[in-house]
Amino acid sequence: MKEAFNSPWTVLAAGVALTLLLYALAQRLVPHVAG
Amino acid sequence: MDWPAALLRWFHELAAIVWLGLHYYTDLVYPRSRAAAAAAGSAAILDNYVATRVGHGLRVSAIVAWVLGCGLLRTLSLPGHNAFVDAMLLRGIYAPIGIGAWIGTVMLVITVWPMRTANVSAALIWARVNTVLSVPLLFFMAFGYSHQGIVGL
Repeated sequence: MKEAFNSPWTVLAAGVALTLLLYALAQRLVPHVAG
Repeated sequence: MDWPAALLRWFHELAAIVWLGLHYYTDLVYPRSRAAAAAAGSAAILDNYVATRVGHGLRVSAIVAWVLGCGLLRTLSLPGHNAFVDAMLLRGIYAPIGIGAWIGTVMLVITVWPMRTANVSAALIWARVNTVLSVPLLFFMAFGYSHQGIVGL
């Protein structure tokens, strides 16, 4: 478990997931961030 | 060529690469080296002679990247607009780069405050937070107005 948490791939996956979440939020909440 | 804007962009990106590079070292390389050194009874050497210098480099490059980024945003102003203000208020075409600027600002605060004052173990957790934040940071910086030049979006 700790190995998985410390894997660079896990970190990258968390970053990509956060990016998609922020992008989806921005599309809904911030004018001019669309499509 | 618009030399002030070009120099700001050049050194902003250079400082940002140094900052993120040191973060990736701190998050992805240092903890494993530290664990191995601890097993050999010499983690203190890394903490005392490496971590302190890495921390200094992180803080200096973070501040330089942030200040030059603010200046770079200002150079992108269209007539009647202040691009820095528009970006930070997420207004108009500057909204995407503004999201990146806000993420960068949060990362700067993490770099100069909790990472500086915490012990090494806690600082490494903050380094992990910043590594994760760097992924959306780079997305919104590249997606936004500034780093796509004048066409944008």
